[in-house]
Amino acid sequence: MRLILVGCEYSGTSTLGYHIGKWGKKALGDELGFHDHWQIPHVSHPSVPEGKTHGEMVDDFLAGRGIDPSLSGHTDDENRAFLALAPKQQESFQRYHMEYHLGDAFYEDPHHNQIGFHINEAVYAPRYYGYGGAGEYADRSWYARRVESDIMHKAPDSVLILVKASADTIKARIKANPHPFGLVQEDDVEEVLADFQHQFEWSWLRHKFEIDTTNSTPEECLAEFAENIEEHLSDTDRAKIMYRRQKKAMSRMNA
Amino acid sequence: MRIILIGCEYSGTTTLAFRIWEWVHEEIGGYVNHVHDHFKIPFTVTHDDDGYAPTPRDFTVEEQEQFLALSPRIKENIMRHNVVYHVSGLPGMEDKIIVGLHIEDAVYGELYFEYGPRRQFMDSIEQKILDTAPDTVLCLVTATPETIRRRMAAHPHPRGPLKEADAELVLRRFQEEYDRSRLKHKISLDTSDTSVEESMAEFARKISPHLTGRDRERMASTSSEGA
Repeated sequence: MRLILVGCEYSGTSTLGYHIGKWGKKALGDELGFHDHWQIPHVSHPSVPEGKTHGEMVDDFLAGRGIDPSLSGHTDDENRAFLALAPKQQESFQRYHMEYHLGDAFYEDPHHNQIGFHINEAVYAPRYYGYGGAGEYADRSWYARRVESDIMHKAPDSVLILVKASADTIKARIKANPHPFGLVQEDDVEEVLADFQHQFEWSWLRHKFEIDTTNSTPEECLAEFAENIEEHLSDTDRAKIMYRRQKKAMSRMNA
Repeated sequence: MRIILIGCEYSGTTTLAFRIWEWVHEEIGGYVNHVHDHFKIPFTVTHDDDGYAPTPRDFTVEEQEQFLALSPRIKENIMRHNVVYHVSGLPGMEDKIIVGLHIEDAVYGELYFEYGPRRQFMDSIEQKILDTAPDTVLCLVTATPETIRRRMAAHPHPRGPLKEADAELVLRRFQEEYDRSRLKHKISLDTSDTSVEESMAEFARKISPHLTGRDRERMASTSSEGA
């Protein structure tokens, strides 16, 4: 499965990603991890504290007991140091970062899933990072299409999922649970939502759908995902799901 | 022609890279868009498209300090992506000049920037080069420790990584990595007692057996145009 979840900060991409991970384990029997490290300064994988597993971190977060693991990659000092880098340093790193995750080695794996990725860059870079605007070096809207052209060659079955919520919902979530080193400012919410929508519609990826988290619980969003993803599944993933369903039915019959 | 120049700081890699840049244009009739010489912390971003400069001109002192202020794991992360990006780009261009790349990053990273072991990553990078651009030539540029120290005293690179006391060690590490490299095409040059033009002439002579058929065709066409 090749999923790319995108959406405005606070729309629920990371939370949905964790639920999809659990669903993947149950439905396919596979680990469906996400590369959720695209929003500056959160550009590293989670730091898992000693004595804990990543899964336990996710469980704690989903139970409201801990930080979102995707925000834990760096210490505060590291985040500040990263933010102090000049835009051209951040730009080059993010460009290298994207290219790295387009590598053949990732696409040789049965699953390669991202949260944010090139669409995050196209939306956030010109607005917040100080690079990648229209006509500038490595214009991120242009670069996003270049990335998609690569994806279309390597993994045409990739599915782009726009996770969205109403502007009021995003603003309420910012107030209730502001992210450490969060990016999206309350005054920009409408425009950022519109930019994600625009990039989603502009995307060259052929498989795509939207999930609106405004009035749904994470479980309801997952159910919507499971229903919508069905028509986009690869034959291999479909076979895995069928096999597990049959196995489950057989064991029920035998019980 | 794709070339990776490696060597201890002050051995002459950058000087030679810019001279080779001209040579590729003049003698091979090729096109090199940039000399990629940004694998030595803190000089990690820019290209000097106006020609040779001992350290990058448009990478300010403040920007260098900002990079040095990053934690070891973030430095390592950025440099790993830097190396992979430029190796991914190798097959896409007929002519490419890179200084340092995975070997420079590993030598200085392990010695000065608290990297963990880099061997597995280096192996994967070399495999990628062998798979996608097997005609790439690795060129070791070396000099005696005394020469390195003399150049260091005469024209020090502010914030350059090499410490004077480590000249022997760093020279040895580059030699070890050169010997260990699995790249099929390798040459080495000693710049201790030679001028830039003499080193360039030696390079031109030594690279000759490693030129691709396409390089030779272009060279023949360039020389007949000039005749």
